[in-house]
Amino acid sequence: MSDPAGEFDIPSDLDEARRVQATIEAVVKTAFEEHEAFAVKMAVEEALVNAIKHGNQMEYEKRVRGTYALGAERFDVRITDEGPGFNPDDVPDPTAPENLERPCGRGLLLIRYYMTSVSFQDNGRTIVMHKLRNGSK
Amino acid sequence: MPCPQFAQKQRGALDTESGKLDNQPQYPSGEQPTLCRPRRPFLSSETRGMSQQPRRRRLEVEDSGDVAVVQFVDKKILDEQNIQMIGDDLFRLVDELGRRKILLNFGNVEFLSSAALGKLITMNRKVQAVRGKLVLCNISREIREVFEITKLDKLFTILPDEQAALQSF
Repeated sequence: MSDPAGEFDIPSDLDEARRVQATIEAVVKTAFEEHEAFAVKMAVEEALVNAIKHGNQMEYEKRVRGTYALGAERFDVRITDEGPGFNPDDVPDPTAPENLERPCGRGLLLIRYYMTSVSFQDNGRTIVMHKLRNGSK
Repeated sequence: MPCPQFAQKQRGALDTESGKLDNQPQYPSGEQPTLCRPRRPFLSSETRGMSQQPRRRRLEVEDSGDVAVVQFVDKKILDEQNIQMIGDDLFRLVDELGRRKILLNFGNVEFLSSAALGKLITMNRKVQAVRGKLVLCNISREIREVFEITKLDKLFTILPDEQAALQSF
């Protein structure tokens, strides 16, 4: 049975991110409904890719670290990169008509939609999010 | 097996080296494909020559009349390199094969990331630039929601199934 809590420390490598994602997915699926597991998977995928691509700029040596925990009613995950940070408020709204055809910039929108709460720390280098079971989202 | 309502489909892998379907139908002059002819065995680019560098097949392309019907091989469209190659193969349909009517069937797809959405947007632009038409169909409820959240359901033509999608061209 999957350990309901864990941590990871990986280089900026998308294959490594896949392995983290698979571990987290296995944990979440033990307790969450299918659509909730899909939501967590989407948010974790986008957050990991953001950390590796936009945070660490795909520099292999830079690390992505995180923790996750499945509780009775919620799943918590925290992901930190070693990039320069960013201001989430500066990210353009990808659903605005002028941005709709831009090929990128939707990750944060999806994370915010799918998770119950999302916050940033350390100048945007750390994303902290949780998902409630049987929540409204 | 019921006879398909639509023109005979010819399935083939998109040869990512030549940019051609590897079993593009060749009919004698004047001969039309027979309805209900069994689909040709699928022949992927990996099997076509030992000297070629193997490259994993990511798309299956069928012809239904003049519509290129594309099925995704992968259930998860995630990995950056994978998405890049899927994008390249899709773009080749328009840029090199000159296809104008393209149907993307998501029946096999269980998960896709925002990076994949970006490729679809670029593909849509390419098709529009040649005054063609791109239609998406057979999208699961969860993935349909992703299109709705991002408002891309307003950008793309999304229809419930392949039959309805083919009729829309």
